[in-house]
Amino acid sequence: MADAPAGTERRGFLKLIAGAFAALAGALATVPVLGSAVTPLLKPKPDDGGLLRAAGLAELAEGVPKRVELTSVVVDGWTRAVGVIGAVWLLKKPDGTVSALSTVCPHSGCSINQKSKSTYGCPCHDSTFQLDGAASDGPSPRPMDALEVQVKDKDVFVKYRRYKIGVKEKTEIG
Amino acid sequence: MINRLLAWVDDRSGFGAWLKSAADSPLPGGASWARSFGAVTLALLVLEALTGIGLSMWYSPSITDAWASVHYIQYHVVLGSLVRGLHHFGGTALIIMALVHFVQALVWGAYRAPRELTWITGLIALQVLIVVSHTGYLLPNDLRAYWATQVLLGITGNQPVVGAAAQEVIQGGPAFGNTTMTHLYALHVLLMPGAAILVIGAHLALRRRHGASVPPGFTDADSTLKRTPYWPAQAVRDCALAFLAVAGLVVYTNAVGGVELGAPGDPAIEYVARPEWYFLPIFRLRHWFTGSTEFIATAGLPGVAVGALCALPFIYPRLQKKIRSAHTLIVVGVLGGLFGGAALGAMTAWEDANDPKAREINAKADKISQQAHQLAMIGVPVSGPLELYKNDPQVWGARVFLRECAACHSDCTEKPFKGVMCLNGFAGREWLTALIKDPHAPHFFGNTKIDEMDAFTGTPEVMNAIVEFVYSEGNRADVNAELAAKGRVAFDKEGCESCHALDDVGSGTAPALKGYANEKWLEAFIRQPDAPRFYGELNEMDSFPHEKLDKNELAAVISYLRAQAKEPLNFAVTTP
Repeated sequence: MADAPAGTERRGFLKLIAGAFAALAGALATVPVLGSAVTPLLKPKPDDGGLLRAAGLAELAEGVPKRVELTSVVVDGWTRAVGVIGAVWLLKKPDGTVSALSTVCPHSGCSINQKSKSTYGCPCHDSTFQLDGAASDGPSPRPMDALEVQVKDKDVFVKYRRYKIGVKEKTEIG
Repeated sequence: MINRLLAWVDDRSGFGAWLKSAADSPLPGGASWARSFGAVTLALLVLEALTGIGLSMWYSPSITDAWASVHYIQYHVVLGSLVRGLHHFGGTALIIMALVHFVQALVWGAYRAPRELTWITGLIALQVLIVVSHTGYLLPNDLRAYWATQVLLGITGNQPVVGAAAQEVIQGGPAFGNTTMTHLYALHVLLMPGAAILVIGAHLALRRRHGASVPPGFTDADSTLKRTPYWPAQAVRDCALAFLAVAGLVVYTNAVGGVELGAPGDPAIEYVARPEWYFLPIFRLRHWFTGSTEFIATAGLPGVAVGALCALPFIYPRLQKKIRSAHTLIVVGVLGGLFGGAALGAMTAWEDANDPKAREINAKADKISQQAHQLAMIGVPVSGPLELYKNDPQVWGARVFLRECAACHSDCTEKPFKGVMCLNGFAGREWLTALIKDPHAPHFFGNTKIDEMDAFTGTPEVMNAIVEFVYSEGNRADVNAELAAKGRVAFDKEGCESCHALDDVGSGTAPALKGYANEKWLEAFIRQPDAPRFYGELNEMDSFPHEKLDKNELAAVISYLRAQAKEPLNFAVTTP
C-alpha cells in the first residue's frame, strides 16, 4: 500500500512519455506532407514578364485594330511547352506609336471582338469600348486594360499581363 | 465547455467505454517489446497513407506525365524528395515489420485456436500489402519501374488458362500504355488500400475479441500469468518504437539523398530488370522453371506456401496428437522456408553484384538517368519525357545511333571485337593514329572486305603530321595549322593521296577525304556510303536515305559522331 502513490506517479509518467512519442511520430510524418502541400506559397512565382513579340510593324495599318495572339513558353507543373498565353488588340496611331489592349473584358473575362470600325464590343454582356479602350456602353466597370508596348526595329513587343475582372481598379493578378 | 461536449459525445457514442476497455485490455505475461511489432506495422501503414496522400497531390498517372510528375516531386516540390523517400522506404520498412510481426506470432504460437482467423487475416493482409507495395514500385515509370512492369505483365500473361485475359484487364488494353498507368494507380491508391483497411480492420477486431496472445510456453487458460493493462506500459513501448521507426526513416532518407529516379521508362534502353526485394526469391525460381512450367515458380510454389501457412491452425491439432513438440516443428519448418526464400533472394543480389555485364548495363543506365534529370530541370515536353533527349543533339544522337547504327558499329570494348569500324573516339587524333598504324585490326577494316590500305610504317613525326592534316579536314576548333600544313605535304609524299583524293569526286579506290568527318562529309557519307567518292563497290554499309533517317535525326547522329573526337580511345588495337 505504501508504494501505491509511487506506482501512480510512474503510470502518469509513462502516459506522458507515450503521448510524447506518439505526438512526435505524428509530427514527423505530417510536417513533410504539409510542407509539400504548401509548395505554391513557398516557391517564387515564375516570372513570365519578358517582352513578347506580337507583330511586325509593317503588318499594322494606321487606325485599323489588329488582333494578335501572344506565344510564349508555358511551364505548367512539370511540363514545358510553347503555346498561346493570351491575345491583344494592337492599334497603330497617327503619330506612329502602337497601343495594345488586352482582349480580356474587364467585366467578366470574355474575349473582346471588334464591333464596328471605331468600336470594340464584348459578346457576353454587350460592353462597348472606343478604339482607345474607353468604356462607352454596357456593364464594364473600367476601360479595356492597356498593356505596355515597345517597338524595336520593325517589331512590336508587348508585356502581357492579366488583371482582376469585375472591379473598377486595374489590379494585376499574380 | 469542452468537457461537456466530450461528455455528450461519449454519452451518444460510447466512445469512452470503448477507449477504456481498449486501454485496460489485459496482456498475459505483461508488456513486452515483442508485442510492439504489430503496432509499429500499423504506425507505418498510417505513415504510408499520409505520405501517399501527399504524393497523390502531385502525381499524374500516364505515360507522358508519370515520370515527369515524379521528377517534379523530387526536385521542385518543397520537401517532395523527403515525402517520396518516406513513402518508398516506409513501404519497405512496413513489409519488413509485417514479416517480423508474422515471425513473432508464429513463435508465440498465435496461429492456434482460437486465433485461427486472426492468423489467416494477417496472412491475407501481408499479400495485400505486397500488391500495394509492388504496384507503387511501378508508378514512377522510370527504367526500373518500366522493365519491372514489363516482366510482371509477362508473368501474368503466362499463367495457365486465365493469364492472357488477366494481363489485358490489368493493362486496361492490348498493350502497356496510359491505361496501364491508370489501372496500376487505381490498384495502388484505391482498390488495394481499401482491401487492406477491410482485412486489417478484421485482423484488429479479431485480436480484441480473443485478447492479446500469450507468450511462448503458456496457454490462454494459464492462471499463473500476471495480466497487466495495455495502457500505459505497453502503449509506451508501442509509441516509442513507432517514433523510432519514423525518425529512423527520416534520417535514413536524408542520409541517402532520397529515392533514386532513373531515366524515363524506355523500350530502347537495355536494363537489368529486377523486381522489389521481396520478389527476388520468385525471380530466382524462374531460372529453374521456364516456359510452360513457369507458373510453378510464379504462382504455384508461392500459392502452396501461403496455402500451407493458412492451413497451419488446422494442421497443428492433428500433428499435436502424433508429435509432442509439434509447435517447435512448425516453427522450424516455417523459418526454414523463410530462410530458404531469403537465400534465393540473396543469390540474385550476389550474382548481379558480381556480373560485369550487369554492372556495365547499370552504369550506362545511370549515365542516361543523369542526362534525363538534367534535361528535365526546366520542364518536360508535353509529348512525354522521351522527347527530352531531343533537347540535346548529342544525347539524342547517341540514342539514334544506338537504334540505327549500333547493330553493326558495336561497342569497341566488346571482346573479341566482331563489329565493323568501331566508332568510339571516331576521327579524333588517337583514333586516326590507331587506324593508320593498323587498318586491318578488327576495330577498323578487319571484319570488312577492305584490305587494300597499307599500314603506315614511317616515323612518328610524319604520322602525327598526317593525322593532324586529316583531323583538320573535319572543321575542328583545336587544329595545329602548322603541323596540319606539314601533314598535307606528307599526305601526298607518302602516297595517301593516290587513293584518298582530296576532292568531292574521289579516285574510285578509297573514300575522298576532303572535309573528312565534317558535317557535310558525314551527311553525304551516311546518306550514301556506296557513292563512288566513298566506298563504291567495296561498300558494305546500309544507305540511310531520308525515309530511314530524317534530317533532324541525321543531324543528331552527326553531332554525336563529331563529339566522339574528344573522347579518349576506350579500346586497344591488336592485330590477331
